[in-house]
Amino acid sequence: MASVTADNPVTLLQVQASGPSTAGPDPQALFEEARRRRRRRQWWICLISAGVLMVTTVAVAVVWSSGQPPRSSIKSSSTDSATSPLPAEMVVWTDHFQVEVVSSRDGHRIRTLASSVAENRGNPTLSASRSHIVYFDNAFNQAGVPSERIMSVPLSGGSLTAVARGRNPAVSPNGLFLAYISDSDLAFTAQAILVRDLRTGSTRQFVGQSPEVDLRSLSWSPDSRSLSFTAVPPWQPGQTPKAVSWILDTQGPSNLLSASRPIPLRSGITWAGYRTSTQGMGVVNQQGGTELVGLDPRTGRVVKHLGLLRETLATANGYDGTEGTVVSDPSGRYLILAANGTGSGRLYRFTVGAAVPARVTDRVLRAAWVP
Amino acid sequence: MFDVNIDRSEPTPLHDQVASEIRRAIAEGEAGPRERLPLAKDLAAILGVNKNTVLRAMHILRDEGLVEFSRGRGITVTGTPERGVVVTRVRDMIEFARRQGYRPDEVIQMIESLG
Repeated sequence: MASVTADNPVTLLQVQASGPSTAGPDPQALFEEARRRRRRRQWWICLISAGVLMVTTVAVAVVWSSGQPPRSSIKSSSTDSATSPLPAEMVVWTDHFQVEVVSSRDGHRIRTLASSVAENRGNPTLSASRSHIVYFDNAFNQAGVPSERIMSVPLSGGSLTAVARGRNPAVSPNGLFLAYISDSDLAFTAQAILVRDLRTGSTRQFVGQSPEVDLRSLSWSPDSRSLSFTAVPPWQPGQTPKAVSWILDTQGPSNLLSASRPIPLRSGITWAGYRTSTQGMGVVNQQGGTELVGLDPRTGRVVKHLGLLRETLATANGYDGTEGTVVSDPSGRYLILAANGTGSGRLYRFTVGAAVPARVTDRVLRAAWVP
Repeated sequence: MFDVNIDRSEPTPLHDQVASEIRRAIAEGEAGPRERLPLAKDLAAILGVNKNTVLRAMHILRDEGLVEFSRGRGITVTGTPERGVVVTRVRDMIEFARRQGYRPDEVIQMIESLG
């Protein structure tokens, strides 16, 4: 086709008079070619954008899976003690049957308080007040019969004292009460939770209903009034007993455990004791890790993400899997998690709000903060 | 593939050649009245000229009343090639009359007296 110029409008009219070409694709369809170019450019932009989006998604997933905690939909509370100092010491039950005071930072031993503790491996539980450590011991007695005892030793070291027959000792945060579970070696009666007033020596007994129900996991509320515990029903062939956690008012009128209030937990969450006066702790075993969450003790609702450990928590001490496993310091900011059952016990220290927990030591089965 | 008719060796300025190409495309019905024209950069890429040359050609076509610039809608076809031809002829006539000593309003009077 001849070139058409503005100087030659007659030619232009002649071109128009001939009308659009209908013989196959017009090799001179200027606008069509331009529009085709634009569509091609837009297609490439879409393709590149999709590629960039995909690469970004993969990168975020890789970063996330390499140690960053998942972004939780649960908002952080502004009431957390964000500036509370880390308690310098903790008391631990080691995998060599010793009770020791160790550094909270690196787990190095500061002093040994007791040796040859519970060599036939009872549930390793212990609790600390400002002056003493109480721990569970089930050493054999002279007749060769295992005997459940609760022992006490001064924090600074010294002689051991047997303070009660029973297990799962828990000293109240104000140091005035010692709660424990009755000795299961006694007659086949319903287990009971006993609360001893350390000032007067008087003991109040809260009795369960069935001798077949196993009690465990005592945890005091920070106001030293409520006590949470977990009841595990008897084992049935082919079934995993469903543990239920309860809250007992130790100053309430009833002496029956059945008067306690159950914590309505969602399936998959295990109660792990109190964190603050208004918040409990829960363990969620999920794919690829163990998440610690804050729980509303009344509703059982998850209210806070506390931390994430990138390994599945394995425990060997019971169905509920949390007995003495997670312990909060008085401020609620620092949490101990003893991941037992994978050989030696691993002790992790969580700082609420921090991305990853600190691995303190590898030789500890249970631990408690020294207030 | 589009067969480029732009010839840089021709004495006709490039923007006039581009204007002719666009005018021809409109005349062939590639874009009807009120239809949007392709982007200047795409046209420039096809014709092998700078985008500014295409825009300059578009200004010529706008002066002819063939296209219209509007914010947000780009360049749209407003007239027909026939009108563009008449506008060109009128512009030539005004220029011719000016050289003969007549002002545009006098030319308008002449046209009205003829009509």
